[in-house]
Amino acid sequence: MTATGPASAERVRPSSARARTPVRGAGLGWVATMALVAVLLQVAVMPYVNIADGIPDLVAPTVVAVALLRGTLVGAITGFGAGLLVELSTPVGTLGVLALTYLIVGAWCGRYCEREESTSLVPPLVLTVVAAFVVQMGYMVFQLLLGNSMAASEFVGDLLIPTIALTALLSPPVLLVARRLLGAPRAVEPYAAGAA
Amino acid sequence: MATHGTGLARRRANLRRGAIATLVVVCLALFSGYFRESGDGPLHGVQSAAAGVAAPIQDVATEAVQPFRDAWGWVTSLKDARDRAARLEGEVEALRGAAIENRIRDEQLARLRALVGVGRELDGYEPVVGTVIARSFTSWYRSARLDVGRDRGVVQNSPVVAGTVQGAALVGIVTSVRGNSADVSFITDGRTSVGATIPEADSPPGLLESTVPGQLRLAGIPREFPVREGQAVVTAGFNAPALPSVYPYGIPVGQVTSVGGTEVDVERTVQVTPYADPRSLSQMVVLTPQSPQAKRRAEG
Repeated sequence: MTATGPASAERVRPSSARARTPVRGAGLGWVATMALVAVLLQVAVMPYVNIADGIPDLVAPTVVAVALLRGTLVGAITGFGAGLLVELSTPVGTLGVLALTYLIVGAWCGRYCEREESTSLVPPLVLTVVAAFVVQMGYMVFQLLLGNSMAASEFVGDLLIPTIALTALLSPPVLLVARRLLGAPRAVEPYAAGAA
Repeated sequence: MATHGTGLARRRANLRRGAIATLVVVCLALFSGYFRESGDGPLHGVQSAAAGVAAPIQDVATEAVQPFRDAWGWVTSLKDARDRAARLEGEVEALRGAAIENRIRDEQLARLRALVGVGRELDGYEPVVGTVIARSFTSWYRSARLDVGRDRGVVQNSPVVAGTVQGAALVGIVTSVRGNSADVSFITDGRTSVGATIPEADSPPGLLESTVPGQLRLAGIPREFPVREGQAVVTAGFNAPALPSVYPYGIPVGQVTSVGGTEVDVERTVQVTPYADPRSLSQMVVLTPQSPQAKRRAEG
């Protein structure tokens, strides 16, 4: 589904869904707030929720939720910003890597904003799990490029699986809160009116 | 009208793609630039400045979520509480016997130190207590950020210890320092290695490195030295016989949990379990160098 004309500032969504929307404008303020809160929790709390060596990824479901509700561009920018903030505020030796992986996740998930919104929580949950998988694999590839290695069994058993499982457990509330705050899906595009 | 609409849609799509492509290029430029420049380059400077700005916010956030973290820690500790109790009872019995033996050894050691004036390397350091305000979000980096920095005398390569049931034990080393915060790489990080020795086996310095999560391997211990399970591993003060380490001699690191190797091996495979589990610590002690010798060690 594509935009229909110059006056159309947003993708066509079912009218029933839009009628329930409590948000005026595009709710980009809420998007920024959600991203900031997710980064803060990811940095200050999540490292302590540590099972095996897995740490839940709260940023991934946030980026996925924003992308599903506001489209490719907002999803990509949110992913870029959140990833960069996480790398700037935690003691890791990379810059730009997480920003890129979350950007890709945001841009990719944003494509689903143009489709009919699912009434079930399962599709966004599956997207979140895939997103968390992509982020972990992307980060691993960059680490291998840097010459840092980890045994495959350790990576899969101690890091990847626990991280994805914990992320999946934490995702439903994030997705529901995002839906509540941002309302019905509508892709925010350049030259769109009301994108504030 | 339709042409106008299609044109605008195409323009929007191009702008969207252009914006995303620009962001991708920015990411790649950041990544490449970050690894090409030295530790005091502009991007490292930006990261350091951002960390400095974020430190007070993280400090407040850490305090705010502390009760929840404590609750989580309590819940997760319940699962192995019974096993721990049984194990600790056994350890208490063993430690009572060891304590008497240690008291005698302490007296002998104090007399010997007074005679030759050695073994007082830790006296050249001033302990500074720091609170953990941030941790690595991934196991690729086993590190934490403390709320003490240059303002408290912390310098790069300052050893970091933590209180354990066995006393103060090595946790890691300061890898970067700012005005009000410092980053610590744990000894369980793959990039950290520690020159260590086993005093009870009278072994030469070996190199302690991370293997599987939470475990270390001490390499370079010749097989003729009588290494046994349960022996203590301490920092050697050297990475190799003639290469001084940034860690002074005598900081407890962990305990030998297994000794392997075949008869044809020249060296033993020594597995070590660290005394301190950095993942559970909320406070650590930075040993800031004060004496000229300690400062030389920190300079590497």
